Amino acid sequence: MNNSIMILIFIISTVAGYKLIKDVPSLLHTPLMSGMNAFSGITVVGAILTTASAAALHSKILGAIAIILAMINVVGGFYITDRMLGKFKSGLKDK
Amino acid sequence: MELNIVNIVSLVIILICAADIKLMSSPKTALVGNRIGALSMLAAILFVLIYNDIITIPLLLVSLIIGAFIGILFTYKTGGVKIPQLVALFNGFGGGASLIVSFILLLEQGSNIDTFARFTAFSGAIVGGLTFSGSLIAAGKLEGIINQKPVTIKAHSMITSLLLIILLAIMIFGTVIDDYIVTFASGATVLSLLFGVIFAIRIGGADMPITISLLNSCSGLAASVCGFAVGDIILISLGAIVGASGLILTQIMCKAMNRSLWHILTGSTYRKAIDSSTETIVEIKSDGAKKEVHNYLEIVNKAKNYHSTWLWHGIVSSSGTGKITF
Repeated sequence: MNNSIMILIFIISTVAGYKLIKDVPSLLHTPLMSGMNAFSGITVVGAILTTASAAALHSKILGAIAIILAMINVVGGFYITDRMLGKFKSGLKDK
Repeated sequence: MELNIVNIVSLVIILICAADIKLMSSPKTALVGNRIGALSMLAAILFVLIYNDIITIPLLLVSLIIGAFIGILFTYKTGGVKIPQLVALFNGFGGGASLIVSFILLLEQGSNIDTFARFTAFSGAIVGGLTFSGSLIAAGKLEGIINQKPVTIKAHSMITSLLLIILLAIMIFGTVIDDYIVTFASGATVLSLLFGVIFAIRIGGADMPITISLLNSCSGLAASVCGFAVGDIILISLGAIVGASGLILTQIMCKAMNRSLWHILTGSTYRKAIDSSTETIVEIKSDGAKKEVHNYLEIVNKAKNYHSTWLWHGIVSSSGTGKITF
């Protein structure tokens, strides 16, 4: 893919990210952080692509480790956020 | 950019994920947002597997399933007390994955990829590496394995700056010089891991939530830079969104906890006291210097923001009762 298009996408996304969260109630700081942590596990996509195209055996093994690590990040991250939010669900309803 | 099916689906997934982060920042929609986020992430993974026609490679599927299984097991087994540590640990894993992806790219096709891709691969290795080791130290501190107090070594600031300069040099020379790529990549890996450790050990245990948020922003950036190296727009965009909004969240948390990011990063401790002569609250540093921070009214107005600190400890202390009241 064209480098300049990738840079453009990066800039637009960064600006979007800045605008995205403004008035977060402090109650949600921790779950939001945990949720975004899960999103950052999207690097699993990169791990999949590199492992699939890797030729050498050691690269494949390293790639498999990367997929496992990133997948723990994604699945664990969303699950733990779910548990966190579920825990004070009653508190949220009062708001 | 061509309007083919791949780019359109990628854009849709990115927009849904961005909307999820928005949903998660409001109390009423947070739970739904998180679940939609999980689904859209699953869609992103399946989509990448399908359009590249690599869904039949057993190694990928087995690794994905093992990772998902370990993630569920970790979370299921962990009680409420240890949730903050676990978030830090997961964050470290994400950074570690970005490090490995960049390292493989440099190892496999270091001299074949263009200068730009090589530069981003080096950046990915460095940011991923410091996220990995920094998060592990953060998790260790919260767990109590490592001393929770800020640990400072001799000439700490100088070593930090020196490491940063060397890392930048490796990034530039590794990109420009065609030979020794493996050496440069290994050097970048080792030094960035070291940098993460040195950066995180001087931060106190009470400041860890903010540190983890900052490292989370870093792992987003690492993912985004990896995206440049592999040329995938979902990765670039989502990583950048997490990187930027993570930084904003870090700032919001700093404000709510009444700490400055600079103080946290340099491990400086100061105490606050009330100066009765001027009726203000002052910061007293270790060398005795005083600095006025707020007057009383401001403090009262800000008081509701202090929830954030309570929440963190609330999760910890509520695990016994299974209930949090605000």
